[in-house]
Amino acid sequence: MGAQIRVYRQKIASTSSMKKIFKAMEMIATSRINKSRQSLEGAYPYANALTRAASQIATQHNISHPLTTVPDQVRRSAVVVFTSDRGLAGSYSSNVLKRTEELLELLRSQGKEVRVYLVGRKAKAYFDFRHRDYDEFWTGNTDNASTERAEELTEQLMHDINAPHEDNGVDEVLLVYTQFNSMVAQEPRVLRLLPLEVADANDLGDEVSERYDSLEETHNNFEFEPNPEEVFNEILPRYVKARIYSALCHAASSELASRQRAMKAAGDNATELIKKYTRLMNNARQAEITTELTEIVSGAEAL
Amino acid sequence: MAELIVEIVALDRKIWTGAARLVRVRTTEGDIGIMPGHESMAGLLKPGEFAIDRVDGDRLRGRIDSGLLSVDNNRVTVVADNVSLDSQTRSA
Repeated sequence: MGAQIRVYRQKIASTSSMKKIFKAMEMIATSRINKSRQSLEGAYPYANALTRAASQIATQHNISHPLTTVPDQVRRSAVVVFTSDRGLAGSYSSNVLKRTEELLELLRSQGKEVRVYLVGRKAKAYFDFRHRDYDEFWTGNTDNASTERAEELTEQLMHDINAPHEDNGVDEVLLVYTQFNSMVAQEPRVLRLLPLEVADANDLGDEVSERYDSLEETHNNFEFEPNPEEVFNEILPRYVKARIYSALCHAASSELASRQRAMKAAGDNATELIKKYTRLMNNARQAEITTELTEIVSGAEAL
Repeated sequence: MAELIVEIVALDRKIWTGAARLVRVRTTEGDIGIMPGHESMAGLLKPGEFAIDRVDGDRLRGRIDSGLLSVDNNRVTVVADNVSLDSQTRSA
């Protein structure tokens, strides 16, 4: 009987130490999420400024640019997948990967070749384990969006979109990331990054257009230095970078929010488990005492 | 008198925003000074210094590596890739 109490005591001890870890991870996620949300906010002004400039040019001048022209036939697509480095974030990474699987299947059924870029160790592990091919990966710091990472990705994608088809060039770029709507709602989504549609500013992206104040007011004619084409050439890559950075920020915030929620749930479950084991242990102890008493009483009666 | 609403933004944050009387930057075509009522324009910036005369009389100076400038309806936006402010003045 004593053995059973010892088993429960061990289970309680290990559950409490796990609970401490959950609690710590929850607190880390909570403290970092505010910073992450701030960088999400910080990315808006840049994207807004570029959107405004780009749509002003697009409405006034009919410039065709490789980044804005939709090719007649999309033969190869690039897909960038944003996941986390570490687990313990609930279904965060697996939701993104599930969405990716659907997308890849769709693209292949349309007869497109796919180049896959992975961000986060979880995505890499997933592809490695299944012996799937991918073209490039970035790992580390997925819960902290960096401008450097955005620049690297932009460089790679710009190179791909400008390269000829024979040289592994792509015709479109798709991002799979988790949109951070609020602390409790994040959804994996697919965004077509390139080719861009600049004709109408409201199509440029929901979070940009939401905060977009009245483009209609401006009918002024713009002067360009040195000329519209060159300004356009400079704006577009920056715009792409802004969108990638925004996706990184969304992914980082979503990861932290998922982790916080998952750890909260794990901590609550641990508390429940400890309560359950404590009751069982008390029960076992009581049973032991009762048995002992019965033995003593029946022993006394026998005399 | 009308004033300019100036916004300097980098990829990950807003560097400075406030009201100003004059903005001087260097574009690919040369230095340009923008005062309230300037016609709408967009330009490419060259590496160089910029100065902003704020409405309260202070002057804000800094350096910019490259970027874009857009002026529209007394609203000046500088989209900078790499920017440093000389004075300690931050967002007003």
